[in-house]
Amino acid sequence: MPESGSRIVTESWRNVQESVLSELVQHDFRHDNSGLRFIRLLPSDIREAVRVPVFWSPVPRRLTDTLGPAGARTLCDWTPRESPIGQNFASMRGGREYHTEYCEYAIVYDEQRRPKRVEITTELREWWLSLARCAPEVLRREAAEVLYGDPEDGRIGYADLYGDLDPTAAGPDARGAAFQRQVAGSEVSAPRQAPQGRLNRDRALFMAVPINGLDDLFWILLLGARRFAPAGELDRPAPLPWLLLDNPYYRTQPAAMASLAHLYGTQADPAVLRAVQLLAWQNREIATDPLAAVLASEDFAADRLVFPDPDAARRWVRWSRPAAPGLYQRLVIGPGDDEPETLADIAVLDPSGDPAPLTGGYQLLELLATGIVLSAGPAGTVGAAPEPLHPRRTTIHDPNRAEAAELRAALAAARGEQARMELIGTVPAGPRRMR
Amino acid sequence: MTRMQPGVPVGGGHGAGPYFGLLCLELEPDAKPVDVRAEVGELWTLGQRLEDGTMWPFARVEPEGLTVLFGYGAALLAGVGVGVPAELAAARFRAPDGGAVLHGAALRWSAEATGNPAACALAIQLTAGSEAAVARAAVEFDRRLREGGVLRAAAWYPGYRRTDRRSWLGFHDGVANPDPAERRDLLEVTRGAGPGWLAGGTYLGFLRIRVRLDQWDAIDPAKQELLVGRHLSSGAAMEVDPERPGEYRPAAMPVPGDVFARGNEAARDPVPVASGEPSGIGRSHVQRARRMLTGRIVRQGYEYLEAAGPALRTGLNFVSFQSAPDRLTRVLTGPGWLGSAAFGGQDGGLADLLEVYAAGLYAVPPLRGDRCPGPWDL
Repeated sequence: MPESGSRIVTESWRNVQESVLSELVQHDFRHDNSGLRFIRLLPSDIREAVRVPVFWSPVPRRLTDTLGPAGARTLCDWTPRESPIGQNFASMRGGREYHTEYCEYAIVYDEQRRPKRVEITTELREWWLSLARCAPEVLRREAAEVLYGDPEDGRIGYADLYGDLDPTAAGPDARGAAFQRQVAGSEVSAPRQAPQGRLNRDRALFMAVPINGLDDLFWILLLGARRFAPAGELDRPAPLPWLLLDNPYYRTQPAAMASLAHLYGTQADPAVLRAVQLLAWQNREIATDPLAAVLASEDFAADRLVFPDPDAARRWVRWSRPAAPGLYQRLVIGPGDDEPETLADIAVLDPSGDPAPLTGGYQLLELLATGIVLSAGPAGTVGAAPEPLHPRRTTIHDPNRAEAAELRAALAAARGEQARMELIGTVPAGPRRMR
Repeated sequence: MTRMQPGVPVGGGHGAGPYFGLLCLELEPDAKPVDVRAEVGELWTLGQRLEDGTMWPFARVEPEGLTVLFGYGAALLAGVGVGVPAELAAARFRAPDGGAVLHGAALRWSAEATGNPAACALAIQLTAGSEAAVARAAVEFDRRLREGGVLRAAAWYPGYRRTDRRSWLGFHDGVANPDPAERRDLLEVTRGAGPGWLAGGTYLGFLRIRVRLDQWDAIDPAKQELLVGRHLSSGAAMEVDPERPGEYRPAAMPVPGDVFARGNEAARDPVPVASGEPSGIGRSHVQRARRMLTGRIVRQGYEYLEAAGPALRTGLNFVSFQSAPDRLTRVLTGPGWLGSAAFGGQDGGLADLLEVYAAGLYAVPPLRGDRCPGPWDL
């Protein structure tokens, strides 16, 4: 997380982490704290730690598995017109709903509704919610800096962040609820609450799709942090799919156990699970350091982008929100509002070297790596014994097929709406035309 | 459930034999789609007979585990009017010009390569338990092709695995391939991810890479270990030494023997190391190749030795199977992977160690009973 310097902000964020972890152990893991033998909240609690990078492609695998790359691109980039504020939005705007690999983006349009920029973020919703609860003015300045590059920028006021609530006259709970409704959304509300304000619908301030949350990150860490071995072969780590086919946390809950296999159909969850499994097998303590999803600048295939001139290449690629050297939580690509060009003035080269105009965010996801960095202590620190797994089936096959019909329907709806918008002239045809 | 073609390393006893050959066939320029389809079907039938040990003019021979796999290149799919899967079209290798094999890759074409026979219409992968069994099948295919038709042999790339499971570089090879329980997921084209005829199949990637041992042997063994990321003697993966910051050491192996010994599994599959880690081990080949834990491929390596005038040339037939071509292209072009170093070590290092002579990507549809796999009814 960016360091805001305030003691109250730091304490609030720490309390959030402890609360999320505690709730997971109590509820999701039914008071089984086996994983806490390995997981530490504070990296400083681990001696002689080494850094373990865990990266994955931010391209949503659920979509590529079920729709193919072309369909996945169409759905990810889909940005419908929105009804005026006041309607109760049930989901994130358009394709953002499907950005499920701890990396979300928004396409920013110009007045002619041409794609102008792509804002990519990996910032955790919970950190911003923590800020909203404890420090409204810090929140306002942070949001202004992220979206406009200047904490003093007056285009963001409390109404954008809290709606009708005056945060200076309200307590933390009321502030949190208002910010959640306006900007952050909530998975646990019934029904689910999607952000209602513009800041995280037209723009990408931080991640707001529920699966990209801190609770999901901690949950997968805990799920894998045991010394799992094949039954009868306790001298080697279990194959990765077995952690989702016979996890002891869920042996008494067959329905929940059956749904675990679904996690194998993402990029992020198996990657984190694998890293934690390898470290736990060696009896090592683990902490996320920093506690953030990040974009690695060294893994960005910048040479696949062709800009009109070298100066544009410098101006139009903007990394920000550093979490550690070379690791960022925000990347904005595209011309500024004061420039006449659009996103399509940038070309993307495929691996064969053939160019195509940049039309949205999906093409950029293909050039990026998202991940987390773990701190791991020396082997043998924990002293846990191997735990045998004996799943009835040994592999996970096509884990996303159950969602295929739903995602195909979403794609068809997006294509239909796009066609209607082009018909009535609210969207220029051309590069943005759905494929 | 569909079944992969024999020769795809799905694990569980379905592995390919240690001897290998890739027969690359190209289309005659004026080939008619109907003739192409018919000839592919005939060749497939021949391949089935060879797998079964039926070999004209003899009644039957021991096939020695022969596998015959058909991979369809973009040229074939376009030639029969089926349409090339977009992901295959976007991942084609660049034509040889001494430069990178893919845009953004550090791996380069040999200056001697003037054409790329592996960018062919049909690639037939043969594997078996002996070199003779592979060669015998190749000869039978060649015999059929010489009878005339619309396909002709363009190249033959043989190879083999060493019984000590080391590459020409002297290090253990194929150590950290995915567990059989994970392979189907890494290999299989899912129903929605590509054309229907390819669902349940996979993609085959192939690179014929000369390995310049004159360059490699000039490097100190300790430096070689740093470049590879494995211990030369045991094959254990190198890891950061927590007690000596900036240094590395081989992972502990509980059981005597090398890294393949039962009980030493944890030493095969290293924990990821940050690329900027002071010891330099984060930029080793092993670490670069696993930069993304879920972006893996199932790689097979078959060494080769060939004469070039009076000299000998060593090399590797790099064979990979994956559910999508971009799994392979990301490994080869990703800046943190092999995009900035052709093998391992510092960015831009060892630029002359490897030279590519042929490269191709092919769609490998699943079996359809006795019929020829693919988008046709043969």
